Amino acid sequence: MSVVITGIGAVTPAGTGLDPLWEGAREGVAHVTAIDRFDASAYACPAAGQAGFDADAELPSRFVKRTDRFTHLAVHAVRQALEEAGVAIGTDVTPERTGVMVGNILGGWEFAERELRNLWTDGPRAVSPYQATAWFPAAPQGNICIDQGVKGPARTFVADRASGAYALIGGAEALLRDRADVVIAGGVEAPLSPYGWLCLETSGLGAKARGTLTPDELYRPFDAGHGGSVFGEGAVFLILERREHAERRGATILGELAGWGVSTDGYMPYYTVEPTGQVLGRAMRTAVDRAGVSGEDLGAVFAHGSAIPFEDVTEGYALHEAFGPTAAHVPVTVPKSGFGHLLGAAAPADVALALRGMREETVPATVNLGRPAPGIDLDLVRGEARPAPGWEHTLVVSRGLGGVNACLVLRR
Amino acid sequence: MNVREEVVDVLRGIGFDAGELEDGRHLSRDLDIDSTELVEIVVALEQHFGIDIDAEAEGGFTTFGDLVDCVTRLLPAAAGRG
Repeated sequence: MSVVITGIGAVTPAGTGLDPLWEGAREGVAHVTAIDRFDASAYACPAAGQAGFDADAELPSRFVKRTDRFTHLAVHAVRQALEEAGVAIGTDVTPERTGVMVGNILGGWEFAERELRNLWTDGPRAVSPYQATAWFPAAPQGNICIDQGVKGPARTFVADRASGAYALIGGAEALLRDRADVVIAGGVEAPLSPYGWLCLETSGLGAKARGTLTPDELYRPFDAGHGGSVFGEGAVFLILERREHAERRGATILGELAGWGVSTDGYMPYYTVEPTGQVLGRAMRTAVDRAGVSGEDLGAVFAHGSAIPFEDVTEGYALHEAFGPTAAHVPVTVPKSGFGHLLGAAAPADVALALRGMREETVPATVNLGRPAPGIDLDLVRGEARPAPGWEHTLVVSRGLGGVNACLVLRR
Repeated sequence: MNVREEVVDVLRGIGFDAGELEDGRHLSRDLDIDSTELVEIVVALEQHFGIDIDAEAEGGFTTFGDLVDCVTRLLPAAAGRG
């Protein structure tokens, strides 16, 4: 029994839909810019991947007013994904047999910050009655269910930057356990509020403005000048089904979620990761084993590539732990440096790009990877996208604070 | 502007279309207003008109006309307080 992807919806700094995201990644276009959403002059990281999505133009005003931007992005991306998959809930699948799995990290701080300001300046009655339901991380999940009439299993995964990968795994497991016939799975993040951005800065994950680097040059995975991530906002959702269900209804199959593996390697201090890469490597190996393949079969690795030096180095170690000498010969890329690390949506974005890349037999390059950091013995794809005839399998790596590791294997 | 027009104006400010706001329209059935949105409406009306609405004492609002009636009834009291 296998799990396939039949639809993809995306709202990212590259635009709406997978096409602009893929085209930007293939061409190495920088979608990271100086932050203009709020005054970021006092912040260490003045750059972000900002989505141009205008909620008022796309969604009803009474919906927009009661929800945060992360819900807007998610609901819109899900509508696209279902449309591409040709799935209408209630017609093609029953509401009770449809699931929703969402990865998110921060919650809806754009909305919450405004209301907390109202609370402390004008008192409780000045606070929007929607505050409680707009802010919490499961808000996108609930609103997707309401918008689409979903009544099956629904869950939100909060596992730092591995949240989106956990959501996809949750979706696949719901299908394999026959809890659902269709699962909408993905992730979302809208971190561009003064407080949300501050949390990312104080967590030590963000790149700092430095030297002569322009905003789009700050996020440098595996580069000798790596110094943290530049984050972005976005939502990426996939439609997952068991293969026979997809085939029965004549759906176009975009690829298979063939394997996954998780492990945990919390380490002190908490903002670091386990230094040998052994535990992350185990999640990689589990994912590849589950897909019934080996390291030699991987046409590419979409690395987590946070550009935090300690994470980059240990990710390289982990690939060697998992695949031995083969690791040095598998093309490794981090296209997210072109549009920003989308946090809860990061792994789903990588999955979407990998599926398109395999179809077009082209591995997109890592943006801003000039001179590789010493001690990372990997075949890093940099400069230009690389032709990859016969590329059949991709490993997507995802990890977060507290030692959450979640790896996925995709089959073309 | 009469009270009814002002109530319509307040509700337009929180996302409603003027065309859907008729006296007989049922708040939950026709306008899809839930208890949270009713709180938002009541607070917006209080702030706009400078009145205090005790939604519980009012026994709940059923139609848009009930909101207009309530404001109309409370307005003289608010004016008298000044």
